Amino acid sequence: MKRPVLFLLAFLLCGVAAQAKTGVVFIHGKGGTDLANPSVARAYWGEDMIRATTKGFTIPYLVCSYDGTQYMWVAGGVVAGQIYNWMNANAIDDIVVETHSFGGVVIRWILSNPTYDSRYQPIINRIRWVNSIAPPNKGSEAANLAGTLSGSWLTGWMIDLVGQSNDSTRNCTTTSMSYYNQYYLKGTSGRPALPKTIYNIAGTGLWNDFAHSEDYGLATLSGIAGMPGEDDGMVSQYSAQAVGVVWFTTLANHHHNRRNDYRPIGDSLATDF
Amino acid sequence: MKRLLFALLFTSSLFAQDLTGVFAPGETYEAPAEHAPANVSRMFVRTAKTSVDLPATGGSGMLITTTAGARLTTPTGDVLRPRENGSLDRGVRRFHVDAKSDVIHIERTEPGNYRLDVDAPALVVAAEPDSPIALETWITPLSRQPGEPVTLFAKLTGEIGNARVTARAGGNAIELTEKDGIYSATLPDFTGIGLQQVRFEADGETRDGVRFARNGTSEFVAERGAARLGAIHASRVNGAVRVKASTDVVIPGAYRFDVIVASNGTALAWGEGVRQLERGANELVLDVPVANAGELLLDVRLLGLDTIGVAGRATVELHPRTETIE
Repeated sequence: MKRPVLFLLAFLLCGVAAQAKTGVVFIHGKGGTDLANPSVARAYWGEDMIRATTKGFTIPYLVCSYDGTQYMWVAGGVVAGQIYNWMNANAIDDIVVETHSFGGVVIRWILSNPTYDSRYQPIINRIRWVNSIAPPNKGSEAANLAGTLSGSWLTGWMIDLVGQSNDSTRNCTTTSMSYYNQYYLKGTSGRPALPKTIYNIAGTGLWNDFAHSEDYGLATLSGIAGMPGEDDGMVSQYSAQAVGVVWFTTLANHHHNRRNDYRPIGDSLATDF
Repeated sequence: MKRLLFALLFTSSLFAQDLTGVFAPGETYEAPAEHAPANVSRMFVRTAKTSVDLPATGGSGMLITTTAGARLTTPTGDVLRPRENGSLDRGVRRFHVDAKSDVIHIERTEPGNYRLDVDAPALVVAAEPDSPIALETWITPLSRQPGEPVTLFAKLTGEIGNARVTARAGGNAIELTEKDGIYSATLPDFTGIGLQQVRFEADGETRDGVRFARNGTSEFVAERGAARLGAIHASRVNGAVRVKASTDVVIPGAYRFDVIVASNGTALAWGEGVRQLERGANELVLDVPVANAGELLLDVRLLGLDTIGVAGRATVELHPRTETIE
């Protein structure tokens, strides 16, 4: 409740609320190369998540799609191009960004490095804030596992969940994120603040739906990877909450917390509008 | 109007090539860590042709990922047959992750070897998530410049009787030597560039003579040596700290010159600017507005942008009464 009130107050004080055109941007997490396909990226979120967040598709929205195997700066370039074109074509000047998993790192790259790409600063200027679901801000022990089990050691279902030992997975190891947090990314303790606020949503549940094999897989991953504290099978709570303001936690695991099924997360996101 | 508001709020970012800012009051200055947080592992990997022994330390749960229909025999002789799913009452359950893969969950292990029989060669991952025996691994430095030695570290927690820890780095098998509970090995001339993953293996026995095994991993970044920071000069100029640095550039391109200003352990201000650097000697200059007239610590960094990586980092102190120091 605090966030809409603060935002409304700021707008009333500035007298510009009537002129703002709001839009929503969805940035997915890592995965396969096929996530560069818009229909695959849309399916990543699920239709109900997009519908709920946009209040029945009444808020203009963009579902970003990028190759989910790439480093954050490569993904950031693709995402920035899509946002830049969309916001200019539709005169969107108030953007709420919704991210899941590695998507939260991709938007942090953009927010942290405004001079890296000429499109970054105009995008940053129009972002109201970011809602980041289960972002591996301090890395993921599950991503570390991909290194330990790389090559033929990584069995099929683990590849589906963790990803191959590719660039985006390497980007998400706890060591890599420690390195990037110290030198390239902002928002962790001891680093400059991000230019826009990130509200994080950490997943703290594992067993959501016994009918889905993903749940077995995520619960197993949590145990094998040795994730400290609470986690959603892929990202630990401490890592998700290492940047920004804690908005809420959810019992939805990493498979479900990008969807609007086990918990109505999209309904919560829609309260921004 | 809204853009005008943003322009007023973010003047420096819109109208200057360099960005500057201040830290929140009381923000602690944090130097880059020498190494990433240790990775902690309670799992191990085995290859099974037809059968494999999985050592369990006892008293905690165990997860085993294997091919569908594997047969498990406990140290006491109980058997989970290929078509059995087990039960909570039996303390062992089988979950079918997909058509080819099962996960077997043992509620509480007996100390000893669990035998797994498979129909076809398989890779088996086993973990004891609640076991006190863990392999912690880390590597220094996290950001390694060319020529710097790399040191691998490992630590075993729990009641360890004896253990052997090895690592595989850059295709080489390395034996780590134990001293005061810490296993280590130094690689004086590591070759390779970029993020380097090192795999660790620990095998041994607890003080009670129970076998255990652990696999772990750790990483560091082998920098390219794209450029080198040379002499750094700092001075106070019109309410700002002016930082000048000489650089010797091997790989020309886009770099970012970063400065963090701190005082008595508190981070005060930061500045950063993108620079296109030519091969050879380049001079960098950055002004960071700082009101503090006391002694300052300057954390200076040169970061690659065309290829991500740390080209150099140094700290210098700026004394209150000294206009310029090196």
